[in-house]
Order: sequence, then structure tokens, then C-alpha cells
Amino acid sequence: MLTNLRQLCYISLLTITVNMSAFAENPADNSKVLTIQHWQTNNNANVYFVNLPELPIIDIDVIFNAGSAYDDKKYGLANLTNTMIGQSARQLSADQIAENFDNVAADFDVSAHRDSATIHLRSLTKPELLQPALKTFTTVVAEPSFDSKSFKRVKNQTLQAILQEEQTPSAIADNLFFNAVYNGYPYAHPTIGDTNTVKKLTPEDLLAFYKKYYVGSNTTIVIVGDVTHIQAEQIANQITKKMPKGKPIAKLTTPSYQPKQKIIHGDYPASQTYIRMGQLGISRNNKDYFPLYVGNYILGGGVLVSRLFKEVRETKGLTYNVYSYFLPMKQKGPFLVSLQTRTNVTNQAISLIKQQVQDFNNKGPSATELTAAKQNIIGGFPLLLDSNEAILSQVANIAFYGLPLTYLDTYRDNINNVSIDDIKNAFNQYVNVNDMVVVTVGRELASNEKPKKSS
Amino acid sequence: MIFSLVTFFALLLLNNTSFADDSKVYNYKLNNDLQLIVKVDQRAPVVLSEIWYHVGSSYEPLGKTGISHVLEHMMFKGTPQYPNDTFIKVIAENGGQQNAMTTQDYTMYYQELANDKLPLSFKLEADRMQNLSFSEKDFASELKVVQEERKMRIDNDPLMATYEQFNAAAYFDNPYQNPIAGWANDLAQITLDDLKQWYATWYVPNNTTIIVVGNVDPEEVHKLADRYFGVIKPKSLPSVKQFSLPKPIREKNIQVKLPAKLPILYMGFNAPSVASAPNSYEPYALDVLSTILGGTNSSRLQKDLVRNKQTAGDIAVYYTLYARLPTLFQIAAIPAQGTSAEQLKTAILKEIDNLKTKPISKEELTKIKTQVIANRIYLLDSIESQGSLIGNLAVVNLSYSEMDNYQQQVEKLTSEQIEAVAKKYLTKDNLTTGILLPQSLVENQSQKNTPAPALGISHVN
Repeated sequence: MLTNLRQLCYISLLTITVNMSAFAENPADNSKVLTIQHWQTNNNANVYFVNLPELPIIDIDVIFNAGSAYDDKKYGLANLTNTMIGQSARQLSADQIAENFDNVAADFDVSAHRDSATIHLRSLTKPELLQPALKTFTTVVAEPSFDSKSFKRVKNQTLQAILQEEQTPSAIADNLFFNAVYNGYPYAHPTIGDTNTVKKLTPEDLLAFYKKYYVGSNTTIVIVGDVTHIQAEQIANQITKKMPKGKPIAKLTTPSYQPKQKIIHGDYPASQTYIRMGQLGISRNNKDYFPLYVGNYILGGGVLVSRLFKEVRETKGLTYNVYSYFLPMKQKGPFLVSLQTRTNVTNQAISLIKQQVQDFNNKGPSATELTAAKQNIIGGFPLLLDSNEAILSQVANIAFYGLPLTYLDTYRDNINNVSIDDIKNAFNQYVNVNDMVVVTVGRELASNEKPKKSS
Repeated sequence: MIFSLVTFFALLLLNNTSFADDSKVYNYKLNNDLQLIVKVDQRAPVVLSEIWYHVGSSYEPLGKTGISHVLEHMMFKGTPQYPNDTFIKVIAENGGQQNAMTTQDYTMYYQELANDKLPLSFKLEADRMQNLSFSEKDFASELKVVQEERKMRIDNDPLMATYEQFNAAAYFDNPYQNPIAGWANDLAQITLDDLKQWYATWYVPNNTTIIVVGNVDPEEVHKLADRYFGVIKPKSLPSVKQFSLPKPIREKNIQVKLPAKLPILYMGFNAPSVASAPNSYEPYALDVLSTILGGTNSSRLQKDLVRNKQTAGDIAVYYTLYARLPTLFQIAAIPAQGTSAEQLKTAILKEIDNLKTKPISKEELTKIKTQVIANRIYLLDSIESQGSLIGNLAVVNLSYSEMDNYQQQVEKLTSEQIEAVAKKYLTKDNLTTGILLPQSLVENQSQKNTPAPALGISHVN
């Protein structure tokens, strides 16, 4: 929750906030990029393993289809359940768990999103360190106890984290945007929940949620690092041994989208206005993923080089940062443009962005822009696999969204095959400036200065 | 007792198998005194190329604060040979990622590229080190960008805005008091001539360290650096003023009133850094002390105040070992609901008193020694972290072998030494406290006809 003090010491040219997955490699090189091994445990957990022998480190992600989309009306339930993992378990108090991991210098952390809830362990692979770390990890994953003292504390910390979001204009804007795009759909509310719903949660709610969702059939395990296939199998079996097989979770329905145009303002006493503009986009398995990814790089995704960056920041000096992205999820995620600007130029910025998006839809990218985008994405491929941590994240993406195991091998071709027409067609299908939600958070503008609907 | 035995065993084991990576660091000095450090990491076909200028906000006089950071932005505005955004475009089209960062002690630019593209990075960096264009038009627009950045990072974030006030109070006699982003007044008055002069003064080879990490041949990198940077003439640098620790004769309390929903408590004790306390065990003892107090999940403040007494929602402890000037031993904490910032401060001070009276256990020390060794291995997973560590050492004139020294220093530390630095520096007469007193987020409430919902969110369809 606390801003890491370390961050207070840096100011950079650009905060890079979006980390869209993209991989490609020199098209001339047809060798396999990464050998990903995949199998299932006896209780139906899917395991993905990559052997990386260079450093004596192992990373394990245990991922459940148990994000806030499964909260039902108890907003914050999935997040609080996930946060409680590692805070108490059978015969282990929160203090003992912390001691156990610190004694063997293992890193343990949890995170919840709209689709997923993840538990992560990083340890050195020396058996004398790894075995105790795994023993504690297995206990906290498979036998959490949700004891009342830890529960009360974690709930209070969560309520404070909600207050922190409520004093952070970028978070307020994001939450308003999702709420307007998804209007009642399970992606509409913030993962952390809201004060009223979180206050009402009980340890019994968490236990029931845990029993339903933290089961073998709903589990993906990703292991990367300096262990053999046999060791990886043993580790996966150890982690899942006490988990019931359970049932795979039913897929969410497809979200529907109503807004033709919706303008929403949140009052906030800030010296800038925070803007979010966008609409319903695509799911992770959409066939137009590649044209939209490459197209968005050109429009607003390319760091320091996109059209929006050049027009809104470099030419007009209206913002420190502006970017656009598709956020594909299990179901349709949003497309959005995000920026903050001086309050008195809010309308100028919104109009400029609309004009840029419209122009991109009308004409598509130029051949030069397309070539430059492909060169960046394909040429930059090795950078996205330059550490165990990066590889863990890429494999987790493949594993959780059920992408083919050859995804990385074919990625360069998929990027290379994108044409100007592909981009134009895909953008015209999914992006429409006259069908957007526009959120502004900042001081209220006089009525003649307010954003207007396009005609 | 089982836990401590496991740890003790772990430590022995790590010491015996400690990962030898130091041999892969190569140090060079060009004829113009430019320093080049190469660290080989062959895991991926990539290279990280960083250029560190030894100048940052702590070099800036009042009236020109923020100038290092504005110059950092201007460095992306082109040269006669590579005008406008050519630099940015060329790196992007070659599959590279790049960015830059300004801190108190340095300004750093980096590119990460496929490992055969290093010459491109050197060619472009050497050019903008000498030939920056400084157009009036770019300056006018970029200054606005920087001002927007300041608003976003600091003015609109109550935690950061409070920290800025706290920081200025705690460093009352040393230039770390300057915000890296600069004071808003100073930013408004910076001129293009100021920037040109700053650039001409500090962006010279004898004030520069180049760091290359990745799958490269160090000798080739050396030749390449010589070719692109070796021809640049060195210049004499201004003498840099020295600063010493203030006497512990004051307790300072500041209160900041800003719209917010959560209070925050910052506590800072003035303390030496490695650079300002050479050949002393003290900075190492302070570093270990910060870990024992709040550096890990099993640390004392996490265990006692966050988990057991539940007086804090969260606590972080931070001490900058590798800084050019005397630094701070800092604590940031969010009081739990029902606890005031003052009460939390009292509780933290009590924990600090405990440190001085009850000896630090063998288990605590052993645990930390294990973590020191493990963290060195974890660090090797990231070429950015390796580059960052090497650079942070370089700006305080230390080489990578300091990592061995650090490990040895920590090995040697006794609990008495750690208690001694706690007694010497973590005292009330050496303490600055900053507290955020949250004010209402809703403005002009009386003017609204209907009661505003939380944050006055209105919907217009």
C-alpha cells in the first residue's frame, strides 16, 4: 500500500505504465524460442514449466480463475481472499509464515485482478533452502485458515487501500471508466471492492469462496527456473496434493455495451484533469489481436513515438504522458486512451485525441509507420525474455489465457503478416469515437467549457 | 528454535556455494577520463547501454532547482545531425527501449537493444553529449510537459506532496532538500541559457560513467567507446562543495494540510552515507538496522505494529547507503484506523528504544546475512538492476567490488555495533517528523444544491 520510498528518489522522462505483451523475433530465425512443457496433475491442475539453468533461482506462479469478476455482489471478496493467503494457515500464524520465508530468503507475494488471483514464490534452488520454502508455500496455498485476528487486520488494511484509491485521481478515473463501460457486468467494479461491501465480508465468506475457486480444476501452475522436469512435477504435485479436484468454473457471459456517448465527471481538487476515453474492446483470444496490437502501437501504444504522444505531448505540450491500449481479458476488455492535462485545456485535449483516432480509422497507418512498428516489435522481442521474471510473466500469459504453446514461436510471423488494411478494418470494427465513454476527474469546468458529444 | 537452526544452516551453505559473478565486471578509463564499466551477462542476446552524468538535483542552487531534470527532457529534442525526434525513432525502429531518469546524485539515460546494436546507442549518445540543439520552441513546449509532470507526480498526490515538505525540512542544511522535479517557482523561471550552461558544465566525459550490461565482449565495447567518446575533450569541473551531518540539537515537526482521505507519518533521522562516512562500519550497521526494523515481512515494525498491535496499516523503512552526501534514515507509516499519527510515532519511538536496550538476537542477524547473500543472486536476474547497482556505486566512487566489501562488512557486524548506531543516530534530537493532516476533498460544498455523493461524481448521459 505504501509508496515504496525508493520511488520517491526518481523522476523520469516517462513513466511507462502499460506493459502489453508482445513477442517477436528476427523472422529469419526459425528456431524454437522457448521450450514450454505442459501437463496436468492428478487433480486437473494445468502445469507449465520452463527449465532455465543459468541462475540458481526458481519462480512459481499459482494462478486461479478467481479474480474479482467472481465476486458476485460481494465486491472485494476475491481480492480479500487472495490477500489473506499467507496471513494465516493450519498451525502457522502470520508471524511464523513471515519468519519461515525470511529465514530462507524466499520472496512470497499475492495479487488479484479482474480475471485471476495469483500466489507467487521466488526461492534459491539449493534444496536446503527450497524445501523449507516449498513446505511453507504449500501450507499457505492449500491450508489457509482465515483466522479472525489476521482477517480483521487485512480487512482494515484493505479499507485503507480503498481510501488511498479515493484520494488518487488516476484511480478514481479508472474506476469510473470501468463502471461506465461495464455497467453491472462482473468487470464493472474495482478489484479491491468498495467500502460498504468490504466492511460486510466475513471469514466465512472467504472460506466459501476459497473452497469453490481454489481447486485443482481451476488452477494453473507456472514454474520457471533451475529445476528438472522431474523436480517440477514433484513441486506441482506437492502444491496441489491437498487441493480437491473441484469443478472448472463456468465461463462468464459476454459483456454487452450500451454507451453511444457517455460523459462522466468526478470532482477532485487537483491541479490537472485526468481523462479516460474508450469503449468495450476485445478478449484475449480475439482473431484480430495482432492487427489491433500493431495498430495501437502506432496510434498510442509506442512509447515516445506514437501519434498521440507526438501530437498531444511533443507538439502541444498538453500532457506529461498519453497512451492508448487494448486490455484484452478472458472476456472483452476495454480499449482506452489515458492522460492528464491542465484543467483549462481539457476540451482541447479531448478534441485532439478524437480527431487523431478518427483520422487513424479513416486512413489507417502509413506504410512507413507500419514498417517502423514491426521493426520495433519484432526487433525488441529478445528484450521481453531477458530475465527469469520476464519469462515467468510471458509463460503465465500463455498458460492463463490458453494460448498455443507455440505462441512465442509464431509471434514474429503473426506480427509480420499484419497489413495496413488489417489494421484499418480491425480499428473500424472495434474503435468508434462516437461510441465512447469519456471520463474527466478534476475541478469542475464551467458549463460552456464542458466536453460535448460529437455530432 | 527450529527456525534459527534452518537459517544458520542456510547461511553456511550459501557461503560455500556463493555465486561468483564478480569476475565478469570490467573497468576501463578512456584518455579523457570517461569511465566505462562492462558487466557480461550471456543469458539473452540483449545489451543494456547506460550513460550516467554525475549531476542531479543535489548540485542545483535554489532558484534553479529542477534544472537537471528539465535538461534530461531536452536531451530528447535533437541535434543538428539527428534533429527533432530522430534519436527516439531510430532506437524504436531498431527494436530498442529507452528512457532516462534524474535523481539527487545523477542523470541517467539508457537503451536496451539486441546485442548487435550497441554501436547505435554509442553513436547517438556521443552526439547528444556534445551537440544538443536547444531550440526555443522545443524548450517552451517541453517546459510545459515538465510542469505537468510535477503536478501529476507531486501536487496531485498527497503522500508525495507531504513527502516533499518533510524532505525539505529534514535536509535543512544540505541540497538534498531540493525536490528532484524542482520547486514550481524555479521551474517557471528557468531559461534556455541556464540549460545551455548546465549542459556545458556537467555533460563532459570526465563527469561521465558508461555502463554496459549484457551479452557483449568487453574488449569490443572498450574499442567502441574509445571510438565514439574518446575524442570528446575533457573540461575542468567546478569544485563540488562538501556537506557534513548537522548536530543533533533539534527536533522538528511539520504538519501538512492537503485534501486527502488518509493520514501519513514520515520520520527522518539525519545519518551518514558510505560516501560521507568512509572506512566506517556505521553505514553498514544502519543498513542492517533498517532491515531489522522494517525491511522484511518478519521485521520488528511489521510484526509488532502492523500485525500484532495493529497500530499501523503499513510501515516502510528506508536508508540510502550509497549517497554522495549525508542522508536520512527514514520511516514512512500509515496510522491504522483509530490511531493518530502522533500515537503511531510514539509507538515507533518505543520500538526504537527497544533496539537500544534489548540486544539484537543472533537469529535476527543470521537471517539478514542469509538475505544479503540471496539478494545478490536475485539481483543477477535483471540486467537493469545490475546496471543500476553498478551506477549507484560509481557515482559515489565505488567499484562493483564494494559488493564483496558490503558482504564482509555485514558478516563482521555485531549486535553491539547495531545498537550503537541506533543510540547515536535514532534520537529525538536528530529527528524530523512530517504528518499529513487530511482536509476535505470536496470543495465549495455550500454551493451545491444536492448533497454530493462520495467525491461529487455526476453523470451526464
